[in-house]
Amino acid sequence: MLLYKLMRRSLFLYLALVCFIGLVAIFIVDGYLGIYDTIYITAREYEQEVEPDFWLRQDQAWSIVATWGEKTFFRYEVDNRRFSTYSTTIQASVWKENQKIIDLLTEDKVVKSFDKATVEWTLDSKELESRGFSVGEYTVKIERDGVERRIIARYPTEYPAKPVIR
Amino acid sequence: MRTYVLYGFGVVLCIAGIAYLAAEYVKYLSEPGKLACLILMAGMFAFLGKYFYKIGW
Repeated sequence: MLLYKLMRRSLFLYLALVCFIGLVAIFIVDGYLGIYDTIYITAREYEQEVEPDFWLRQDQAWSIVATWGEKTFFRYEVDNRRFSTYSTTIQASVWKENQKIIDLLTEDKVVKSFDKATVEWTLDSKELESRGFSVGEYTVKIERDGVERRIIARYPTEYPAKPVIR
Repeated sequence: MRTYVLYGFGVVLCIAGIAYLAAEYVKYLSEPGKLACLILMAGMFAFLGKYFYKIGW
């Protein structure tokens, strides 16, 4: 009886507590759990990190500037924040004018629960050159399970340095 | 009086900490998740208000 009275008196406090627990549960289940991917790109001796929230906030392509004649290094990290194992095929390819020109990587990955997996590949502009391409913009597409990430690799024309006039 | 000022500081820091963490994590929530959070937060404040009203605050 006393417990009932206490419950009745504090009913709204318990309801507020339930709402708070619901809030925390949403933050954990919807905000933290899931599959997240991070891309690390090294071009011109600079490493850039494309964090998962970039793709969550906008469905745009990440842009990098690279030097023609040099390699660009990619590292793709898949973070499995789920209670089950995640299996996927990761594909990376280079596209120009909506046509695939080079397959960079195709790899099957099994990521254990709350674990990470990383794949690496290189975009060599000399390979593009050997196929008859020159400076310009290329799209590197990374695909896994219907998720597509696009990186625009820009190769600007390198002008020779101006001679110093004394 | 000094104790209440310290309590005040504690409360403000707690609220600031929770608000900072919420702002950091809210960007990872989906749109339905954000809506559910909004509804639950409104409910939480409403129930708290009702509770304090009932106990005579």
